Amino acid sequence: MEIKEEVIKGGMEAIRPLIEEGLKKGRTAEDILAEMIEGMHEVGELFERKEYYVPETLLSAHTMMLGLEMLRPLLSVEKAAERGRVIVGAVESDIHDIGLNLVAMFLEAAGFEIYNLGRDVPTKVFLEKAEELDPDVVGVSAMMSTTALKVREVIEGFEKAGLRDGRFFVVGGAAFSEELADEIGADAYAQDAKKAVEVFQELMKRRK
Amino acid sequence: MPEHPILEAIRGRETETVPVAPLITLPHASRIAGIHTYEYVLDPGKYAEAQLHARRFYGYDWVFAHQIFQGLTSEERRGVEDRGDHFILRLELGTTFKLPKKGAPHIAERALKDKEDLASLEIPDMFHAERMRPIQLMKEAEEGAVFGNIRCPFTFASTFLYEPEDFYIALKKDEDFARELVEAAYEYCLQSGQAQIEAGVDAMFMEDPSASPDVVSPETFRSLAMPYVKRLISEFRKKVPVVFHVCGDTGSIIEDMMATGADCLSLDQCMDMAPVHERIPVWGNVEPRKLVSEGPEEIRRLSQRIVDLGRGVVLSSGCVVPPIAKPENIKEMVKTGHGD
Repeated sequence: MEIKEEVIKGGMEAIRPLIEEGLKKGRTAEDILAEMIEGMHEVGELFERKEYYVPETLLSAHTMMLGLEMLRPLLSVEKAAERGRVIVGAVESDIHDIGLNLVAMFLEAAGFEIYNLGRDVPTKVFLEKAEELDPDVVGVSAMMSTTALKVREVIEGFEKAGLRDGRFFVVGGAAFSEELADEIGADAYAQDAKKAVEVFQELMKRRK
Repeated sequence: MPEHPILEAIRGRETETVPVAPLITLPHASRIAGIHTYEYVLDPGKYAEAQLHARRFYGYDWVFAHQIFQGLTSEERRGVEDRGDHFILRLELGTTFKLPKKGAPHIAERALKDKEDLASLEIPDMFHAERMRPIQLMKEAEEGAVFGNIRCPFTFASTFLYEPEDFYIALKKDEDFARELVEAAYEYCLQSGQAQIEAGVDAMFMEDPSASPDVVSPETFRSLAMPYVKRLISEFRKKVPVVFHVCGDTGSIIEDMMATGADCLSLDQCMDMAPVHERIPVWGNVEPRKLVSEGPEEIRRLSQRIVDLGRGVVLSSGCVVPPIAKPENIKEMVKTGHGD
């Protein structure tokens, strides 16, 4: 379980040699990924228990991503699409993307096919990407009270363009609460990256 | 001349009524003044006028000079680029802002791209007369105590100087560099604060949101945020009283916050003010979201609980007032504080 331990402690330097060694010994990419996911799950719990904070969680997520980059060519693309295709981004004028990146990394670790549009994303870019990628779920974040209402604009943009039906909207970021998410017409609210994985998985079950 | 009641309250002294000072910054002030957010940033006269307008409109007890860089120099203004739907403003410090013609301004680029850039970072002249123009205008209006504003070094380093995610990674992988960044930020904050005091602010509102236990561990707060906050407070308190704010659940660092030497602590809406108020004057903490979603009756109820704490209280919002907060709710806060 060395790989899991490195993910938990954010061993960015150690993860690649360990994965290389595992593959040489005949472990499958799926098996190694499962071990990393176990590590990230524990990181999520440490964050919930306030034993880990944003820097520690970021380090683990980046370690996981380094490992995932090595494994990606060996993993089946169909499997990720089966779990769900997702686009995420922070609304226009919102440049807070740490939480967003954590959500993207946690979702990717959980097997979703993820497209992270980053920060300061205008509604029209969300729409263009949705047309291009036909995502199952759209995750939109806003950190500030000044940008929270932009999320409503994104959802309304999808409605007007006829792209709302058949996909879910999940919102997150410090500006939100369950009530506000509901009020602006989102399908769900996720308060952190660990919760986001549960919420996205639940929505995909409903879709099936 | 007697002091403004709010200055008495933050020092824990008796006041006739509870002073009210909602955290009204650019989003709400520009909205109710009917000016564009970019004008608020670019024009010192409009920034000062919007803050004074908000104070008059609501009748609260402070004028908040909250802009971190205060006013712009002529050179910074000349460098503003019009890019169609937005402006680009580059501060002398190197930090670049995107100012949409419709929407909220935000940082587009940090002053430093990588570690090597730190050696060439130069702290601008914060005493430049044009930077202090908004404070001067607010003081000339003689409408109440003017509070300066410092975003503390830990937060300043991780927002104005360096990409936040890279800063947090540096905290774990290259702590010496993270500390150097905070040291550089400290120099900026010290000079900015001293300049604001020289320009005549009556008190200082210091904030350190990135050092919140919702983001970093209490140990990190103690080692990389608090020492610099303490140094600043000790410097500023030679001349003016200081309020210190950290966002989020600060239960795990509340003793440390008290030990910074601040006169008064501003608390987030998730905190219980009563036990803290037994030890130090407090400032807060009506939930900003409720200023949008609730009506005056609920706002009065929430405000009254704070007012009932008694001496050494400033009634405020737990964080920045949202742009679409209902004006009648803020008026109700003011009425409750003033016993109307």
